[in-house]
Amino acid sequence: MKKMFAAIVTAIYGLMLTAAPILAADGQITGSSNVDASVKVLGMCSLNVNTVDIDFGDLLEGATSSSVARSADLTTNTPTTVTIFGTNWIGLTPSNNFGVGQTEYGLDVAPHIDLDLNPGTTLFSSQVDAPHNVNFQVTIPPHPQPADTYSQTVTIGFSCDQD
Amino acid sequence: MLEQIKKEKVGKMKKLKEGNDRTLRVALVLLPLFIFLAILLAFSSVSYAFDSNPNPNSNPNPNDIHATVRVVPSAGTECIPNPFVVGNPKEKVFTCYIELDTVSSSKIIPSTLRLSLVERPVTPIPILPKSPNKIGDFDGDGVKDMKVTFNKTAIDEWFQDLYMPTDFTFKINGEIEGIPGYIFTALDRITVIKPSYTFVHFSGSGGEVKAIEGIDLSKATIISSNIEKSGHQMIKLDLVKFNFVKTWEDISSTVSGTVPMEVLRGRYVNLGFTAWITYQSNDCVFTPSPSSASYSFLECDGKGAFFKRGLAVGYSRKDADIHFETDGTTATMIAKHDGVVVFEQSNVPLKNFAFEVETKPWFLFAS
Repeated sequence: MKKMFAAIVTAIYGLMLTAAPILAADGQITGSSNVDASVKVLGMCSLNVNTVDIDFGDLLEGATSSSVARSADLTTNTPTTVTIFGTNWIGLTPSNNFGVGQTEYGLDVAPHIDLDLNPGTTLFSSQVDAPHNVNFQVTIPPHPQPADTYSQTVTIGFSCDQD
Repeated sequence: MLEQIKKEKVGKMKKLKEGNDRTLRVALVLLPLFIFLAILLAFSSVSYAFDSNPNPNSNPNPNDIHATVRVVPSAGTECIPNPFVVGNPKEKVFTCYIELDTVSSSKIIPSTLRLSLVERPVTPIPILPKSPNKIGDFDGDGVKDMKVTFNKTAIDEWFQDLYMPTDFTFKINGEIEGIPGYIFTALDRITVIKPSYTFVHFSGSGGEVKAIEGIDLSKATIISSNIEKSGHQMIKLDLVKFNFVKTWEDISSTVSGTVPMEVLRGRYVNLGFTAWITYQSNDCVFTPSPSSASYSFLECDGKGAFFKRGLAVGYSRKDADIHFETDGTTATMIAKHDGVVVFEQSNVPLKNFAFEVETKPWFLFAS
């Protein structure tokens, strides 16, 4: 909507500027004038991620959680890349931890890809609107993995061409 | 005339001045408008291009998802006595040693412990008031465990309907200090035996009974000796653990069927011998034949079997087949070996009868 408004304002103002001398004349001047109008539609993209916290609950060593989904809805009119990465799992006792790759994700399918620390990992690419669900699950490493409450942050980013 | 021309010039100049003033005013009005529109246009484009979050001020990184998981310790237990003999008056308590993985067993909250079964619903039992709750290393695996005790008599009540030795999974649930809301489960496999199974066999002149491994006949109680002067005995084994190497097939609702028979790998004992040796939850009714012990009859209620003697002589039953038919109240059974009928019995009352099929011989008769 904003884009449309911007385009209309640009066009009208372009007409005003071009036609102003004609309108300022006293009417005795006759003739015609071509008005060239142009508008540039900018590349726009936005990503709406359901960032509600994920609680995988209580798990024993070596156990795998059930799958939890979070939506990642892309709105775009230009080539856009959506990325995903995470942090390692850290316990309340900081020396307790395990790797980011224990978390798996899957785009609209069961989790099967190890989460990575690399911010450049592509989740998906699209140049049109693309609503998706990202499914997550975590597998606790085998013994010995100290009992603790562990946390991880998963970041879903995006970038697109604006020109 | 000059005056008129002068007036016209003044008028024109006035108009011109008024025109210039009007143009200036228009310009003064349009300039801020132009600036405003330019700013508005620029702002709207830029803000749309980067507005990736409906509420950009709420979170510096709006697409972060925070995940948590609580790793909880697994638990294990080992309990004694195993096997668990129902009603053994010498055993008052059931003792379990509970271990936790990666967490000290001293963190177990004893008052939260409950013992129950996996295979059947029972009322969970707490530890005894005098439970030691001691920390040690019962199994010597280097992991500290907590020793707790339960009222064995209360556990006995779970197995009053047991009619044969059965493995059960005993389950202990409990809570751990510092891990609120988590209830651990520790399991142990226990063999439960309800004694007073009646184990019946015969021995007598010309024959010798040999038990298979696991059956201690020295602890047998002789119920009846020299039955009908046949020299056979009926004995009863109490509090003896032995392995039943057979399966059971409930035929109370079965119309007919054929099962393999390997009941006796036998030699004859005096007369011919055909039997289904039995154990059951209730005593069997033994009906001696007035004419001959060979035709004596034993019938058992509940989960049991019956046997009948005297219809075959000197015959191995190995590899024989039993064919049975039932109308729901009585059964007819025919045993064949190599196609020859070696045993036949009709009108056997079922009375919730379970048909016993052995897959291995479990005792031997030898001449």
